[in-house]
Amino acid sequence: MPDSLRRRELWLSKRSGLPPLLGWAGLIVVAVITGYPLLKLFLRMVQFNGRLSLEGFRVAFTASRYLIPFRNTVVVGVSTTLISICIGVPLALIAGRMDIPGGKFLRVILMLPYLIPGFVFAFAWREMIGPVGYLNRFYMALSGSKEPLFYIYGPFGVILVLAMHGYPMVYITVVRALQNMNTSFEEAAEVAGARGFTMLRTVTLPLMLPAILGAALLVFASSIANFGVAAVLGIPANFYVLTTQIYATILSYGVKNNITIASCLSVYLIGAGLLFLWLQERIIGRRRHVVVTGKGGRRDLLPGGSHSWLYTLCLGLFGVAMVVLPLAAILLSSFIRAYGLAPSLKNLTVNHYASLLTDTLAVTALKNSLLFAVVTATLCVAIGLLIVLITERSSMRGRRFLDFLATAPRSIPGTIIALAFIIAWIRPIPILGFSIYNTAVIMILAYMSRFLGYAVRTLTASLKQIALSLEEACLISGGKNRHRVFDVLLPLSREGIASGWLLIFIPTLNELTISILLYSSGKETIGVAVFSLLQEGLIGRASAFSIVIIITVLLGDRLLFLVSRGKRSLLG
Amino acid sequence: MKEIRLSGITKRFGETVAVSELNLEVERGEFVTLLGPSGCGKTTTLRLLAGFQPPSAGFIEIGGRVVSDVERNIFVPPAKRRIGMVFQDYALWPHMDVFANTVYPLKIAGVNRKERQDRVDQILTIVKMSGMQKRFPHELSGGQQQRVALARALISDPAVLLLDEPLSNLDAALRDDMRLEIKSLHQRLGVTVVFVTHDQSEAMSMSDRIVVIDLGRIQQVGTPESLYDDPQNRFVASFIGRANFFKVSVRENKLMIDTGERLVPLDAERVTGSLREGLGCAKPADIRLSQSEAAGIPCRISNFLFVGDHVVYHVEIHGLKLEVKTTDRSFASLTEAAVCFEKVVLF
Repeated sequence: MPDSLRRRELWLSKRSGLPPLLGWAGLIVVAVITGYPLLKLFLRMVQFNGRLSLEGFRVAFTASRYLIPFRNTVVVGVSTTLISICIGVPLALIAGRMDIPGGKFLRVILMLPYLIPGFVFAFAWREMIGPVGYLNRFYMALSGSKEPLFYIYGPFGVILVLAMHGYPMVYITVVRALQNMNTSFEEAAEVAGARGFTMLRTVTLPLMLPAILGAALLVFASSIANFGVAAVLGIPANFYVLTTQIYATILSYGVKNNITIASCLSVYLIGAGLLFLWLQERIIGRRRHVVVTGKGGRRDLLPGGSHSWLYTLCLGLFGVAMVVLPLAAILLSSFIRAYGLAPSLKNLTVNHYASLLTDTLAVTALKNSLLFAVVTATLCVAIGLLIVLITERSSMRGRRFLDFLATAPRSIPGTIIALAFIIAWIRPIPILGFSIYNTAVIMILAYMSRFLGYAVRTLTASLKQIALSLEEACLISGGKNRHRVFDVLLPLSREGIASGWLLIFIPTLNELTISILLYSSGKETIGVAVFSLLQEGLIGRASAFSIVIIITVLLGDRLLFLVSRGKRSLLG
Repeated sequence: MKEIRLSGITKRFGETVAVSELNLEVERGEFVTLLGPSGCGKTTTLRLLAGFQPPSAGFIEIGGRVVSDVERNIFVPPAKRRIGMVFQDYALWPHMDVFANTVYPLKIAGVNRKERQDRVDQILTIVKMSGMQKRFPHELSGGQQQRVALARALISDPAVLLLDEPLSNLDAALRDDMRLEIKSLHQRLGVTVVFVTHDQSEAMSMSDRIVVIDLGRIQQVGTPESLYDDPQNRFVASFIGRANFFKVSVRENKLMIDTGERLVPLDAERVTGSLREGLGCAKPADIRLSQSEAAGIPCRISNFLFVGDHVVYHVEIHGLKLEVKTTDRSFASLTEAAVCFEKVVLF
């Protein structure tokens, strides 16, 4: 019998089925946090000067001030993707596959940029090669030049830092595909006489192509959706991409119809997001059939051979230049008494850290972020469970659409979600008569919209692993559906629940994109605080804050390692 | 007294028909086996009985009560059918220890604490698992898990015990032990058992009656002996033990075997059934070998397999290949012999 049918029939008729009320509850929540705001966003696109009109599109698609960010976005997306592939694929073939000296440590270092929020890593790079970055100052002092060696602001910096974020995605995808590859493909090539580079070119890489394509899509989608890096490194050089342009347009209160224009600009990114979802479905669907076929042993790490020390040296140098130095720079900045002072012993202080505990903004931000993250993660997991029960265990009509609506915002940039929330909730809610705009509620709902998909995906995976007979055994033992959920399903998906919670808690804690558009006085978050401190030039305090963020993401990854028994941790 | 009645049961999944027009009655205290190849509909039938799915047509009675009737829109959920079930993968909850797994049905039924403990002690003694109450499933062997699953299925004193291929995950030696164990449990508790398997020897050795199912339909119902001795169609004959099939035709009122090369008179000591499909069937043990050619049809011995307590010879009569099973090893060195059919069933 088809397993999917078995799943559906489990909830049987009305008598023992999922109470329709719960099904409706799931639908309503998703409608409120995703469906309604997106609908309002689309409706807003065709409103110009208070009338129904396509004028907004005409402006957004033809005015040069909006065409340039579009072009920039394409340039950034394509370059970031290419660079990430060029770094990620060789890295996967070497560090992910070969047994080289210090391999484990190198892998941790090289994966690190992926964990660190983009705006923090951009900030770290600024501290290294910004106008007054340590490397530039060192170079100018050494050569007597008046010009810095590197100029981080603008496309160069944005692409560089986004690529640092992108190559780990390529690395992870390709390593996973390599591990799942049927070893007999390569063994057959070896028997046929292919070796080394020939085998790589004729067998391994062609087999990896779907995985590499999938990773390329992922990197492209996430780099055009990124706000933090483009805001920290692009805006100072007047280099705008779509996300930062939408952000700036929303804040341009003086421009007429600014919200309509911002909505119309979103079309590019929403379209790209939907296209990405569709392509990903197709590529992953195909890959399942091609590479991840059953038999054949899993391959251990290959011996590094006589070049292994050379590999270690290259990767080590790369890691130091691209990861260690920027992080060292921001660490140093967090201890320097006043910005611009030489990094000597007498200029060091711990005051910036102390101020995090006394400064009102810092304390408020820490408290808010912690509260928002706990509430968001908890609500997302609870609602996620409800949705997964509907999509995986019921035959409710429209369950596929529910799943789509709950997970689609994962591929919509945070900037656009925030915009949709502004449009949807700025006016008082009809009937109730009050507005949630400028409250913590709107922020939490927006976070939920963005992160609910993470919970749904994790819990779906969890539920799929539970043998159906375990639930049937409960039913035949006299259990009702509530027993099934509370005695069997929940205890057995503990790991998925805990992982899902952490996977939402950590990014919410450091969220910048949505917060920066929806926060109000007293509702600042960590991300908002760092961003404001940066703009006010309080670099020491911003650095100290950033170090705290880096420590939390590392701790978060450790926790994830513990609760998922190593499965979901990035650093391993 | 009928414990179970299935009448006109049909189950469709979309276009495919898994079970078709199935009628079956099971006596109280009987051990009935549903036997058939995988995908034949036997597990679906069991799940319809358990109430995990509603049938598409027909009605089911358990203990004289209608638990499922499509026409009258009656459907009693599994919990209220007074059945116990052992699953193929045992389905012990990995987060509960032996005690918690076993006591679960009583807990849901609201039995008080004292009585719960007593009944768990009692049932675990019956399945020989006393003293293991604090163990978790992953700390138990396959056979022990099986016993716990049995205990859980039996603890609330069900009228019917459903067993879904419970022995298929055990190794050979343990499987034989558990066969005896389940059989003696059945005799001791007097519970009605419906057992599903694809293993004919399991079915033969354990059941009071066997229901042979193929392609969603009942092929034959009967005691193990009657199925073995009088298979009613080719499928049953081939599924219960091994069988030689050959073409049979009638010439001048005499039965002839068509070997493919020529017609040979079929001289069997006993012939049953009637010739409808033009097929004859003889079990390997129902063919006798002899050294004198006058005793039967001359044949060539092409191969032999020594299995231990018996020998299987592969013989050929004018291109027709037959398997012969005997304890006589003396033909191993011969290439020529004669065969004689002791019993042939015609289809």
